Amino acid sequence: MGRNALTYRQRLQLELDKWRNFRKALLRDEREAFDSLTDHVFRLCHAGSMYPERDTFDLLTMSALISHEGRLRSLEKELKVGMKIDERLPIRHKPIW
Amino acid sequence: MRGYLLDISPSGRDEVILWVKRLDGRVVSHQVKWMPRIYVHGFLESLVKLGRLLSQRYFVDFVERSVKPGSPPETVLEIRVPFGSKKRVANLILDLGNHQLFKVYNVDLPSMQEFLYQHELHPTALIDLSNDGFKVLDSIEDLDYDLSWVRAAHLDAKVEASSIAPRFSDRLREVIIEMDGERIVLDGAEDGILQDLTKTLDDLDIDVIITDGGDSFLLPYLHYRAHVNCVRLRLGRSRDPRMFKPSPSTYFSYGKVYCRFRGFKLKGRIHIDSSNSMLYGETGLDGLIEVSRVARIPIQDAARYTIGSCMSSLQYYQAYRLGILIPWKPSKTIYMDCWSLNRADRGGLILDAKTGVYWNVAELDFKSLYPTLMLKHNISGETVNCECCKDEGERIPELGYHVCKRWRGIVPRAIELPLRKRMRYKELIKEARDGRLRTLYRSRSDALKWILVTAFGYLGYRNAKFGSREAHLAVCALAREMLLKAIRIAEENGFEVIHGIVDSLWVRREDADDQDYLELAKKIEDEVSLPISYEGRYKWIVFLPSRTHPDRPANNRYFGVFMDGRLKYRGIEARRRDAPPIVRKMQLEILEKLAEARDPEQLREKAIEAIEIYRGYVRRLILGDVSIEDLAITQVLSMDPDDYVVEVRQAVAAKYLERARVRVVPGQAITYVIAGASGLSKAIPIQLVKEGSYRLEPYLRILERAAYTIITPILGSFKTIFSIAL
Repeated sequence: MGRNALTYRQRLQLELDKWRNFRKALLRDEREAFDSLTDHVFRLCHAGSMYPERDTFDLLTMSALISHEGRLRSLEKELKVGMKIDERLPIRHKPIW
Repeated sequence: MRGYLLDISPSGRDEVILWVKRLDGRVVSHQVKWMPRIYVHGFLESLVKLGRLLSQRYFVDFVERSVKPGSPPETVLEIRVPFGSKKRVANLILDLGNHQLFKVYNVDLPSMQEFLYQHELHPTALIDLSNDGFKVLDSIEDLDYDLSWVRAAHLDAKVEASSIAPRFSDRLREVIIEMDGERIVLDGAEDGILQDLTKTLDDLDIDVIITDGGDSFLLPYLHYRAHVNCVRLRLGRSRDPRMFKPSPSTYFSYGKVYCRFRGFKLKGRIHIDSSNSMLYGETGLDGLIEVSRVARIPIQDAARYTIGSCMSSLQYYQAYRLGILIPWKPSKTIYMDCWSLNRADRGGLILDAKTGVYWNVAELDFKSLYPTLMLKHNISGETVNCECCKDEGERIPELGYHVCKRWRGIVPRAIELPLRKRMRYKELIKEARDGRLRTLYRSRSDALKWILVTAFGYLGYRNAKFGSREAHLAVCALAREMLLKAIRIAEENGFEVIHGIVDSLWVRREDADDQDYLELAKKIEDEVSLPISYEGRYKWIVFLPSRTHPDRPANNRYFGVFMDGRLKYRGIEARRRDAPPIVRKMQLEILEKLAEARDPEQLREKAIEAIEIYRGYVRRLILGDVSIEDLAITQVLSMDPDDYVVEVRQAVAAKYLERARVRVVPGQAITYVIAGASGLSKAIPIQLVKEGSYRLEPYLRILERAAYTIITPILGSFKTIFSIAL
């Protein structure tokens, strides 16, 4: 059986293509940030492909957030600190749900 | 009288000839009265009327058969028809019933296969012939069956060709027969050669004739020459089929165009055209015979079938045995809304590789994952979303489909034997001391692998008789679930998962040794209860980035070296058919150099040494110290040369060939050398190119790119020929 539905990877590429004009208006360093963020989003394709019912942009945003969280965590580890918000709420490393 | 069944062929209206090689080596033919059958289903009244009408010409009977797998038997009309008339009679019946009253069955089941199924026979079977029939003495389950009696020879001919492509009008110069390392050359006058040929084949008592291009040229050509010289040529053991003009047909499969020729099949002797047989090309005579035995297909047919057709024969046999009829036209279309298609139509899970060099990585593979899942979860067209087990059937993860609990599907029944045999052959490969035996088992196991691979693909094929889209999607869903479970188990045991594709995982832990990885494999095997093979431990492995997006990985493009020094590489130029041999040689030489490294420091040193290898090749290219074969690029023509809008090289080369009056068809592989920047010299076919005439620049670029692929991930960028003075 040949494939009929688009893969998540293809959907993601289509979504990013829609942002072409947006990207064009970004300044160089902003554009670099945009590109590196999309590369990070592509890293999480395996997870995105497991939730095909969801809108592509939702998956893209969630993947971007996770990549940020991951990089924050590695920074924390590097700096040997646990960041807190308002000195009250510690960031939990285990999901609360 | 005992003997081995070499071949079967139809004869006249109602006879099958069995060609049997007796134990004393003599080949005898044995006739059996038999006719192919088709079946008609419809209202009993109409069937009775139809039966009365057809009984004037055909032998008809009422029998009990199931029209659907798992359904109770019903009364159907059985009609015995002469060979080659199944479709004609079936169409007649459909017309009589106004294409509404009747459904016809077993129409496209090839007659010779039907004969084998009915008599529980298989090619190369050991049988006991007597006056009242025959008895089969061995089984297709056997792993060690005797084939020492098969006398195979290669047949080739030299033609006094007037151009690069030989034509029927060219005279025959000599015929070469090669057997067991001995070479017999028949030359002299043309009529003499042809007369001698029949005699030599008989004297040597050859059972299998292997040719290169026998279907597309050689055999029709020999017959044509015999006709011109008024010589009666016989290549088989009985009269050969009438001569026909070789006609290629082109077909499309999995995004590739293939071309195939009508087979020139002999009687009493097997003809295999190695260039027209995918199975022979991949697995040799041993693999081919294994498939014809397991799938019960005459060897000459199996050689020319696609693997899909071979695999279908296994299913047809199961259906036949269970009294289930095989529908002619595939069952009615099932509709699926866009939403559920989007949800369900996904392939296997791919966990992107993290690009870079990794040390001490293990590769774990699920053994025949898809077929095993189909077998274990009873996945078949009729079992997924069956009507009988809506609430109690086994659930498919993610999709919520259910699988029948009451009926064992045709597909799992069909793949059980090849799956089991392949596992046993794999064990035998490990146990075998003798190199010859190892190769034998390997060819057989590879041939069965092909069958298993297509078993899954065929589930969702629109013309498959026992498949369905849901079944296909269910297997993918199960496979994703299994890989996710395996990843979780690896992580829980402290391993880092670097990459995963559908049924393979690459995992790593710095201090892990073979024992640790084997334990992990065992743990996964126990928890998901599917067999896992430990491919081995890589000393180092490189996962390559994409060319267009250097920060993203290109999955399935990697190379590495196992602890025992074995190389494994996928997706790099050395694996590609369209890369010239010089590139393959260079990349392999570089990889072998890199394989010597024992730690990251040494790997860098070796990579620096590898640059010298690359430079050596560049130097040879510039000095002209390369043979033209090393520069040949092979590409498959995907359409007619004139239909190409862009002048791609393979199209240019094809046009070149056409000018030299060589017939070119889509699906044909074209081998060419780049000799100029534009025009017809852009690509000259290898047959026409002169030694030393190639264009330097494109080859330098190809070499540079290939060297870059391997060296940059280790060293970062380095100076190539375009940036240094030699």
